[in-house]
Amino acid sequence: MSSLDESLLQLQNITKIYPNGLVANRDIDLTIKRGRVHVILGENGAGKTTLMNIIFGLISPTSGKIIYKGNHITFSSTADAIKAGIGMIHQDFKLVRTLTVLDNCFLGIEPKKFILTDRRKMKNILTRVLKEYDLKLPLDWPVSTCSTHIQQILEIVKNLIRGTDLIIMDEPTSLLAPQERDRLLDIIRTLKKVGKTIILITHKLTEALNTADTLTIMGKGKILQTFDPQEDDPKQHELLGLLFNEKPVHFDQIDHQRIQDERLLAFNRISLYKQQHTLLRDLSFTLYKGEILGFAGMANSGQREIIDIITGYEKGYTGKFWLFGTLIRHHTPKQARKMGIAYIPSDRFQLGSDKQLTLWENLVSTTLDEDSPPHRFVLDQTKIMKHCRKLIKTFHVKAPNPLIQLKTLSGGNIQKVILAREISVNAQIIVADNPTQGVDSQSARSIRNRLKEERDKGKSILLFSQDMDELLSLCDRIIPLYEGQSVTVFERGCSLNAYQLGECILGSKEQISS
Amino acid sequence: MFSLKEIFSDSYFYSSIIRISTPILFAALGALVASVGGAPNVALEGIMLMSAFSGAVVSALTQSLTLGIIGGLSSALILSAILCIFSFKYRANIILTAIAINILSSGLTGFLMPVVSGQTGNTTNLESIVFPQIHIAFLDHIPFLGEILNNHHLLTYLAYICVFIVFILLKKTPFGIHLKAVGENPEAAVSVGLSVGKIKTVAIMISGLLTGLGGMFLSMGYISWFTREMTGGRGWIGLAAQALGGKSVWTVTASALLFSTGESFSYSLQIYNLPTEWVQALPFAITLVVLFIYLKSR
Amino acid sequence: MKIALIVILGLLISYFLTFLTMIPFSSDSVVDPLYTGFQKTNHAFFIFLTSPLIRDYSGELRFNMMSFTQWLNEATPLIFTGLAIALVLKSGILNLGAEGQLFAGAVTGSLLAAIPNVNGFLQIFVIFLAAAITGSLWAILPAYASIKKKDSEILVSLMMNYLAFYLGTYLIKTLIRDQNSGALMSDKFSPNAVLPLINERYRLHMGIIVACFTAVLFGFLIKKTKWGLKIKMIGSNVRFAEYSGIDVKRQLFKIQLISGAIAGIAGIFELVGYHQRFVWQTSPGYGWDGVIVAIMASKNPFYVPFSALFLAYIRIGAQNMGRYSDVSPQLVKIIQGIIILFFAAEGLFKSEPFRAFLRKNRGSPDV
Repeated sequence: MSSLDESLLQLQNITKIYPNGLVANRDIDLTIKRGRVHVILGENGAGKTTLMNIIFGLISPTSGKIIYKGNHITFSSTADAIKAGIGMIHQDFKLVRTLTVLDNCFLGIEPKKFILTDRRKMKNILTRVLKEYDLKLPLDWPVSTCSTHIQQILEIVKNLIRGTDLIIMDEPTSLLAPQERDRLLDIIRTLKKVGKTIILITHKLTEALNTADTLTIMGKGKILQTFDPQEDDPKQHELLGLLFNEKPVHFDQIDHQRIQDERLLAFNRISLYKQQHTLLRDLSFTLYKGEILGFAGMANSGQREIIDIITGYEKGYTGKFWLFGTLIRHHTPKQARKMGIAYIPSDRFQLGSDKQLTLWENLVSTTLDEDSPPHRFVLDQTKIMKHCRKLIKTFHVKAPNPLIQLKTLSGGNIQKVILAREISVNAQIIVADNPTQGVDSQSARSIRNRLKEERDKGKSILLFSQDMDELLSLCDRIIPLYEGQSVTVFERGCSLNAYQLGECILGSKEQISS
Repeated sequence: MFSLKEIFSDSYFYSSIIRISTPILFAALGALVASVGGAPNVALEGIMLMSAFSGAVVSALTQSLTLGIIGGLSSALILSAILCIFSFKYRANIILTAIAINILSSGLTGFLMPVVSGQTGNTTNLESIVFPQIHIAFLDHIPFLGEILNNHHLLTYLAYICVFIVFILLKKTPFGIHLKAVGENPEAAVSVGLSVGKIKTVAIMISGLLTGLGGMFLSMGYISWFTREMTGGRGWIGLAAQALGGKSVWTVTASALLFSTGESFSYSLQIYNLPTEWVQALPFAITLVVLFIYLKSR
Repeated sequence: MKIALIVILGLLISYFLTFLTMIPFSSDSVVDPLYTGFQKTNHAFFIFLTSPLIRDYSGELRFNMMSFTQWLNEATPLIFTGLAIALVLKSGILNLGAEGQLFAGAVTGSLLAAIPNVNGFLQIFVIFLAAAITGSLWAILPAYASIKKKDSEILVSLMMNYLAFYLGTYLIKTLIRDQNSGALMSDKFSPNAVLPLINERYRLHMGIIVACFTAVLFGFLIKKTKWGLKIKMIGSNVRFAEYSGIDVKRQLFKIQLISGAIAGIAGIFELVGYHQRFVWQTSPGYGWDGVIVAIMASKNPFYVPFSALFLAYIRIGAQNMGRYSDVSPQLVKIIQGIIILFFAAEGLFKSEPFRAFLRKNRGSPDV
């Protein structure tokens, strides 16, 4: 009987429904076999991170069973999971930057001599482990001086020291240079050899196929397919087909004539570097008047950075940013608004609204400047209420009156409120970051229709979305992003389906255009 | 005739710096431990006052130094516990809770004073026990320096021993590492299974304990009774010393000495009838400058 | 309502505490000492709770004008500092510098008030203006710090308090000290620099009116103007405020300067109106009281006068209680402490089942 193929972890019927109704995981059945590298592939919003958080004890499932090492277990905290031998390496490493590598390694499990930390013993153990796995770490350096690559190795060694059997890695290669990626894959192979089990979360298709013993594809909270790439040898296009359907979505139908030639906004060779990572690489594109320009991409593809630059939250870029014909240097969110950019953020409860305030306060929050209408210093309550009631009606917000607190509204309604506000300021450009994610389908539909209406009126919309179908049905042009670069530009009128888009954003087609 | 040379060449000047620094140093060390853990304790003034009161009163009522010490420290721990419960469990703002404790302590000590001693200004009629002064024989043979370092109260020597204890605690024990993690990146602490709440609570209890020792020095040292508001802002000065000194035990100790020097110098000036306000204000001004330098550098 | 509950709790705890201390030690019986304690406590609390309004003139209850005016006078600086801190807390800042701002403003005003032979109106006007400006000046450094780094204003404002006290005391001592009196007092102010009193006999000065007016003014500004909404938004969710196009740094700076100005004039009425000289030997503590007032008023300027009047009421009541009974007036501080403690504890007012529900569904909906 080979212990290698034994099932280490079994998830049965795991479902997670959040209080606001969002179904993050639906009836997940998953078996993780001991000693194998199990890759979970899926786009943002597929439910991968939620599932991992459940395994690691960070959140509890709404229903379902977890069987680990043959025992039915419930983790009430990460401490339980750690004790059981499960470790997780998050995308943002959980390290204490002012402590040394050595201290971070043994955090929480320091060996003691009487009551003092036995650093000599720590060094001995660590050196031994490093030698065993052929790894190198600068023991006495503070973590703040270490590169991301070293920090990641440290996170892995943390797990090795604690005798973790199951290591979960969340998007481990997203911030690594190519050589560092190869190094990481080597390390993973070594770990496998000694019997560790690894779950890897990624959105990079090629990587997934290269590393995985077993590959599970997730989409919209469900498991779509599981198979073993080494044995089954699936074709890439089969996998892509699972993630993105191949039905045409009428991208070839032109229903609207774009007002060409009037350039509103342009990125000219914009690059963004942070902490030795290239987040945007020589990115260029133009936004014209009266169009919906869509951006497709996975995690860390550069979407976040583009949004931040346009809306004034990111100033550390190189290259030229043009707005209405003027070269703009380093503007603030306030200036972005003043210049005519409205912003529907993805973080709708922390950034896009304030739940503690009333509905009307949320609706007028952007009109409080001295020189924006209404011009009077004192708030004209009658005018404001009238304005708000009109907005509530036009945007189908389900609320009794504008005086209620925003937190009594559902998530979808709050999103409509945000939409109402951002559209009513009559800005020329609207930046929409995943405007329908997590919103019920009816609200989502009305939001999409509304965006189309605004475009028809002559406004321009930058739409960032994970939903391929949405992009294909709404956008006039679509730019797929991969690792901070624009792959190409698709113009409406050509035949394009989700599958082809998926190819671009997963990096299986290396097309770099200017 | 005013002479700087006279002041600075008098060993009494230096020995009084050490004497004065005792409660300030205790408070500063307390502030340090709490601050490293990310739970700033601004209730030091109130804790110091309460322990000064309890120590003196309990020792008087029981005529026992040991019980007095227990009384003083217990009250410090109780106040620290209240701070922990309200700010961690009930999620009150830790600064506001601390201010509440300061006011509570001032009120309680003022209220209970007439109850236990019949007087409203102080407890002079109570015979409370004091900590012994310690005479170190071999220091008699060292000129000047020996005079400075000798014949201090037990608690003064203890304060400086605590400097080393706190150093070891923070740098050489697992708790110190955990505390630093909790203060800097609580998520990292959680990810390895540490309990942030527990660690912060222990930190505040330790800071209360240290401050309590400082409080007892006031009423059970050179002065053997409790006076209304006798802490006179020393808890706040300890806090300022920690603000100036940052997160290192040594710089915090140096800052405490700096503030004490200011106070000692102002006493010397009083003999000459010179305005002392400039000298007393100086350490605060220096702290302000340092704070701003730190801010500017970000 | 939360306030009522907490106040009652404070009163109950202090009653119980007083009761315990009023029981005489007697080994004879059990009931008698308890009864005595009960009586004494009741007597003390009666004075405590009613003396600002009522006085017992040998069996007859008459309106106590003296205590009443004391009450209003005491409330005046509390309204100002309470307002100053309410504004600052509302925008999410923890600037505890009201004490120093008030002291600095009072010193400046006092120095100017000592100048003789100046037109009365002009002098009064300049005094107030100077006090307000000085208060604002004292708020500049903490304001700057708060913009640079969150929470850094706490320590900076504490340092400024000390500097105000030392510098101010020095100036009073050297420039206008009354050499004849033993305590640290300044000379009498110029007779021109006098605020008209409302009631000559008991010296009720008009500060209370100005204070209430200021509170109402700011209440209006906060509730009914664009600026007020901006402040509210910054204090509620600063990210949302910035996102909505509010210049957060500028607004925070502005509000702290305004707060400083208000705190700056808090002490002037008392010194120029009532004492007509600078009499503070130590820092009066109104700045710290302002914290209690602001918190009890839920940071709403409209409620600040009520909160301040309440605090002043129990203070005066406690003072009288100390004079006419065996209970120490320090009791009022215990009540104050309890009030802040429970007021700040938000977690207490959320029910346990709700929190258990929260615990079970940990984790944010971000996938």
